Amino acid sequence: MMQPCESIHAPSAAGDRRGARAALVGGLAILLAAATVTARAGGAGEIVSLEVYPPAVRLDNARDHQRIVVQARRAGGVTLDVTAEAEASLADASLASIRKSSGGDGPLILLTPRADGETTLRVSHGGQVCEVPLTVVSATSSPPLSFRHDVMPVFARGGCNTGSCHGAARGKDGFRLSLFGFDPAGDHFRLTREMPGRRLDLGIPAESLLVAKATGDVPHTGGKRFGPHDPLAETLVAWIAAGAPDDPDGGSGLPALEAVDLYPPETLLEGRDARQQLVAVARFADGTDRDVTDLAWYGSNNDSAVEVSPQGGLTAGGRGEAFVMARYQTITVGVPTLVIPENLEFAFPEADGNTWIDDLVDAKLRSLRIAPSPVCDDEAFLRRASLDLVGLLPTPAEREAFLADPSPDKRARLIDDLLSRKEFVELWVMRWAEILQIRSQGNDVSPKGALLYHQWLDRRIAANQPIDEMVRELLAASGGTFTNPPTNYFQLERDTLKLTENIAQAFLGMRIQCAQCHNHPFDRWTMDDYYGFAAFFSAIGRKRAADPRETIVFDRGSGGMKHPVSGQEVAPRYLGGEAPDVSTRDRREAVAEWITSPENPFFARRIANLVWAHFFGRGIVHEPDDFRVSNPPVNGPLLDALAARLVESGWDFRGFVREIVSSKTYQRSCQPLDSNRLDTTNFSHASVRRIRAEVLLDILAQVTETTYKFPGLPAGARAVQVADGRTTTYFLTTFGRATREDVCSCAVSMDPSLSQALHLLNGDVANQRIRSGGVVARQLEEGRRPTEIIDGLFVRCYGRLPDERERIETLAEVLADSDRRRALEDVFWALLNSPEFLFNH
Amino acid sequence: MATSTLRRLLLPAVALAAAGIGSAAPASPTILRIEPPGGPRDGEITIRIHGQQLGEPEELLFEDGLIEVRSLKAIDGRQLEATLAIPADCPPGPHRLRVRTTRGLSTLRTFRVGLLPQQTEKELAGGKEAARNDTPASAERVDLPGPGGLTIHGVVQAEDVDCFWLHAAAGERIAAAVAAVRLDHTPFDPFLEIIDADGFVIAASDDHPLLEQDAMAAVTVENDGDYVVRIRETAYRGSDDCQYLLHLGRFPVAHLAVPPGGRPGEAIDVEWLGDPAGPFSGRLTLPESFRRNDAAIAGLFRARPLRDGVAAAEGVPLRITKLPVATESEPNGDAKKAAAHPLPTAIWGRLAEPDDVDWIRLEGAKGSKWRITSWGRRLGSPIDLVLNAHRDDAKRQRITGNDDAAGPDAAITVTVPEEGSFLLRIHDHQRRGGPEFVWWIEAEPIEPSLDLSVPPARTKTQEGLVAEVPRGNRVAMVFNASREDFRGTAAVEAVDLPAGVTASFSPLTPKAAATLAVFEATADAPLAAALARLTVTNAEPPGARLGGLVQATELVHGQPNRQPWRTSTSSRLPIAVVEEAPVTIHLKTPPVPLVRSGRATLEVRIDRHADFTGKIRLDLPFKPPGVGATAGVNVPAGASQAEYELSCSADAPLASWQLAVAATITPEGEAAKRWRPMRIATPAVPLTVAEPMLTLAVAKAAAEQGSTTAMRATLAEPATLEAAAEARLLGLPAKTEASPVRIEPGATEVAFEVAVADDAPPGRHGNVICEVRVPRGEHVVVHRMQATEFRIDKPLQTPAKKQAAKKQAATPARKTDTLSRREKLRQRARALAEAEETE
Repeated sequence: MMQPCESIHAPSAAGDRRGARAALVGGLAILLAAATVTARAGGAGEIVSLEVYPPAVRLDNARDHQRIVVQARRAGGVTLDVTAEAEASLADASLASIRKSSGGDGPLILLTPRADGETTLRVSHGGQVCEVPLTVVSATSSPPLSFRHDVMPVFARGGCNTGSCHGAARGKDGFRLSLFGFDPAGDHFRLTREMPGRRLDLGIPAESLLVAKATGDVPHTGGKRFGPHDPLAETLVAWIAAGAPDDPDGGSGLPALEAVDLYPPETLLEGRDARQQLVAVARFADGTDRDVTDLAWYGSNNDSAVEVSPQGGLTAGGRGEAFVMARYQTITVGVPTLVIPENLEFAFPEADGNTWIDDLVDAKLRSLRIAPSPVCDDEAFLRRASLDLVGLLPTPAEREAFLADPSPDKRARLIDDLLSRKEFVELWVMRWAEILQIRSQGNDVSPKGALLYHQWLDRRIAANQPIDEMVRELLAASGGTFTNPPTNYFQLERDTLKLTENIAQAFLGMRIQCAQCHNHPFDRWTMDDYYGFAAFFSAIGRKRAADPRETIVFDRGSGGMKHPVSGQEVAPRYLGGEAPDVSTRDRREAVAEWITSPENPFFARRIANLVWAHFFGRGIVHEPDDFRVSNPPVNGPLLDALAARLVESGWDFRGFVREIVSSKTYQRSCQPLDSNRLDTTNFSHASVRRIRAEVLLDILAQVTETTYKFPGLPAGARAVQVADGRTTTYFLTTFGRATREDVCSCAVSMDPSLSQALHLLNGDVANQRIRSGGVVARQLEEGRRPTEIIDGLFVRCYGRLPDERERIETLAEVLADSDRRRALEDVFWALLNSPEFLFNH
Repeated sequence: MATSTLRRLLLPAVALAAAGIGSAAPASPTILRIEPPGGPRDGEITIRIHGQQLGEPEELLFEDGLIEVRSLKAIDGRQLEATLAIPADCPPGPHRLRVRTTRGLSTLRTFRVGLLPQQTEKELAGGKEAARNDTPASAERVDLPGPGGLTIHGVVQAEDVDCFWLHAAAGERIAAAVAAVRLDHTPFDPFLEIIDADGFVIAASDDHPLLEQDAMAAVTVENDGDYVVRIRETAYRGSDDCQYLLHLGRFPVAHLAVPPGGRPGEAIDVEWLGDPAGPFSGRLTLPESFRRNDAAIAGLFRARPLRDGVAAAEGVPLRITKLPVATESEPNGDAKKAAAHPLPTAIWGRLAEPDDVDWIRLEGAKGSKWRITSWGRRLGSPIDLVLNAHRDDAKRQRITGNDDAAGPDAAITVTVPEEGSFLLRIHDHQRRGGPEFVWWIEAEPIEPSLDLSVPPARTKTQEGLVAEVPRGNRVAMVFNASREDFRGTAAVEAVDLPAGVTASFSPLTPKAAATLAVFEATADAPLAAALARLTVTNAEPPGARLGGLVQATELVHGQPNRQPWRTSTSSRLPIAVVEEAPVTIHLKTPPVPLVRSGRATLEVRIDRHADFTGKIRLDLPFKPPGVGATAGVNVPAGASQAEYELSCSADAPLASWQLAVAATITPEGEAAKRWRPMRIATPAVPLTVAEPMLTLAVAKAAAEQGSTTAMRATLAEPATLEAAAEARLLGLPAKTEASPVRIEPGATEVAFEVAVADDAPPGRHGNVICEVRVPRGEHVVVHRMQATEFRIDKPLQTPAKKQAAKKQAATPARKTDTLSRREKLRQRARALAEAEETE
């Protein structure tokens, strides 16, 4: 069964800088598709396909070469690196030479040019054959070494320009390189001009301090980086021998690096110590490419599952998944890699009634050989859905009605009912208020401004206004902070760069802070990207309005953003996109349109992930606002599908939430099975989540039948409704409420602490409210028996009846106390202090 | 919890501070709150005034004199009760009010006169728990006495919500307007909603364009039913001070008149904009003059539009001007189409749609100066007006421009260029436009003027804004001069003073930025108050009136940074004659001039009442430019003489000034029972700032420790002196001495013998000053010369000593373990290389 190679590699051939993502998504899709075909995997099996990487080879000059790896796939999806065993031949052997060796730390097939022309590389193994085209151009010419394309990568590969070495702000031991190479012109200056004659020796290039230090010939704090005969050292020497030239015109004539492709696009390793070699190919704007396997930096985000050697060799560890990355110049790309135990016996349970969400989740679980837990019971679902959707516990009456309802669609009806409640709106207003950082702030935002801003948000969420529309309105808002409240957003952060970072994080889920000072090491963002994006927000004008508390935010129509390295004014440019013409329009309008456009690859995924994280306690990308190349989604197809659904539905937020909570994935039991016990990331079972501070305070008030008083809100308001982020109480602060001063999703703390426990045990929240609410006293007055009251308290707090043992033991305690009320209130107190109450499960 | 406590503590604190109460007990009476804060005209109303030092009330002083006070009595030192009769023709709006007691005049507050009958919120009247009206369900019922409606006086407590319900038939109108911040009490920003029977908000208002932070809303209801009007603080704040007057009825709620002004006495057809039921029109005769002083200063007449026979509860402002009034002629969106108007003129127009720009051509004599003032927001228009003046030629170069000089409105001054005309460009800052974006521009010639006002106090209090003159005594006040196009000398005169009070003002010479006023009351002057007028006239030649007092009083302060939210401006100075003071003070006329860089001592005589021996503190209310003095001088108990030192800078203007010393008397112990704290002043006396009589340049000098040297001083010119002057050095370093020397008439040089002790501090001592006391008659004129430097050196060391010192310093301190890591690496590498070679 031979597959045409093109069809396999089509997704990774996306010709832009999004190649990495495309490769990742495409790769996973195939992986999952393969896994879906065979429910039972593992064990040795027949090789069903053979893939050769890179899928097309181009050799551009006499120095050029290309590594080839051959990957075989067994039935069940397990991949094998068969480069060593495979037979490789050229249709026209006069064009290139094939060298087979076990160089680096793995086997390789190396192609080097001999003559110009086109031919085919034919690779066969285990009865499978795959052919890839080979093009040889300028086989005999040897162009001069480029500082940017040949020399700078040596510093990156050698680790010379990292933050802990010469890339530090002040350099190291008197020598500084720009961090990860963000300033090539500056690096060239420092090498050649800062200390003339010291760092480079044009007479005896090999004895240049630069080379001698790197090869350990002279003492070097950083130690020996590579040997004197390493190609890296040879490049340096050759460049110095050529006179250490800078690229003509500051490198502007060089073809830009367009993408880096990392192969194979996906790998499923079976058993510890299974191996796979990677190949990295850089593609340039002029159509040339280059084998950068030896120049790239490699890393794995899960060393216990997959380790990657500095030469790009993967070695399987324990069961799990890892994202293996390669960085070349400013581009970081990655490929997903799975490791399964050898000879695993696994059967995926039969699933019926799956939604499309469940299908996508299950597909990933299948490939991981993990079974999902079954769907939870009605009581658990009612409590979980109530807490997640409206931030309240189901009342005993609601519980009774729900349990008594025999109809099969009662969960769907419950979801609809909860979605239509105003508390649902309030919960999401609170969540968005955190993202939009609604709070009063010194002289910039008055409490009135904060309240108006909150009311603006409230009206939009209540009306189910499409989120894209809302965000557009917010980001392009002009006018008075009272008359047009979303303008408060620009008052809460008046520093252009911080505002830029906030917007990227809040609406695109990106943390681009690093790129303010240097190119982002673990993402694709360069300083050019950063300042180009910041330029959208550098024309914001502010002036005082008639009311001293109000500020008018407007478009000044001008206002440049200077690049700190070049000192040049940077034109507004979308992140990873084009530079629009903003000469005649408000720049913020333009960027708001771009952010929220359906073509924007980031916005919908960010929002979908945010919503998902609310219901599962963990995003598909974790943290929910930390999208980056090196932190890929655990289930890319799922995230893409969710994002697509959001866009397709016209940003119908309620509908979107309905789909998520209607899925079996959401409704799974929190009881793990043997196969998914260790899974915390793939949604194979419900996670037990601590209830967030505001909701916890509200349900404490709910079960004790008491009310709270928050400053700046009418009596009886709930914590979820607090408009001003500055309003807080000891309880809310202790339980990790977000102050809304930071846009980061991590501002909401779910971590348990001793002070939380002590506050609940001894503070006025439980004790006093149990008394002042008089729940127990009233029931005793009504003449209810202790058993009844105990049952009622369990239902009130846990949404379930006590089991036999709980009932008997509790009753015994109560009957042993002469003060019946006190004893029952103690029971109530104990329930409120139990994990079952404090957690959503 | 902490926040709310803090806030509760803070609100009264703010109110106290605003009322002018520092840590010390207030000397003058203070009004903290008036309940109710307003009343209907054509009726009688009893009010209660809460405050401090309100015992022995003499008078309730309405500055415009339109409201009659029928009775006034003290409940205790903190409360007064008064019955007011408000005439039927009393202009609605705020009326400035003070309490006068035997101790003086209180802080300024306002009392708001309305058109509608008034009642009190039941929650307030009947005890707080008795009639809570916090929800629509528990709303207080309201029956409108007529189509105009009524006014409810209520209070919004912390996080309080007040609800009122009334019945309306389908097609009927419900209107609500609230005066809250405009009661000039506290920064209370109200929010109003009208809610239908189903609980839906059918109209809401936060900040109405006309009413600052106050709100006004109206709606024509579609169904018969009960409707709730709900009021709260915008951000759910509130306090006992948050009183409101809520007008409820069927009145129209216009906020803008088109045209937005006219000439005095003119009858105009007006279209009223802003009512939810759409514009309506009526005929209106503008008044010939204003009846209230503050309204006249603002130049705004507030008309009450009538719709279907019902008058609006809030007035709509119209600008009254004596200038010829013109209307813009559209299209004028292009400078080429700008219509020409001769200067001076008033013109009005509107930015009919977004991005609209209006161009006007103004024609006047080349070189003439014009003040262009715009009016938009102040007339109820939503416009944020920007004014730009351009040359009227092909290039149309911009001359000047402004956005917010007059609040949101703009103002510029333009000199007519050689074309004999210029262009005005008018647009909205945010490029908005619409039927309500009306603007009004006045172009007036700039004429010489000089207005007076009390210098802004450091704290935001009302302290020092009124004169309280003790019988048989004096007080001093200082008024800053704000000049426009006038550089000459002006004279100030006060008229309408209380009986027995006279005033003197120092002349406003070109170099004087302020005038010193001394008010003096005769010993038998009746305890009374009056609102004096200050007139400023040109002194050379005498006659032409230049201006008078324009005094703003900050009434309400709010966020951020306690900025003034509400001010009230008046052209009258309240002056009251108060009880006698236990002290009078007199300033001796300085017998010799104060010379530049010199010093002078003012001698103050203190005459005490036999019963009063306490401390007093002197200060100098007015210091001529370049003249310095300490902030105050404490006069010990029982003392009858005091001295006040003056210094003069080297570049002080040479002129003669009027000077007075003021005193603050704070009786303590037994005396406090009889005397109250008060301020008095001496009569003004002349002080001349003159050139120095001699100038001495003291050369720099240096000496070793333990030696004596001469510091030489040269006179710029041979001294022409009546008798020998005495010179001495001040500011020499410690353990250094120089005896005074005599400068004989005709001398050209003197020398000081300076003796430096062995242990005098070595180094440069830069502030050595020569003081010369020049006799003039029986007195002495104290001069001070420019500072010079005196250096003290250590004696040079002998070579033997030096060597010994060097030896000591050269002790090797290097330890082997201080080698750097790099050095160690180098050494190791060297050792390895050597080892390798030997192998």
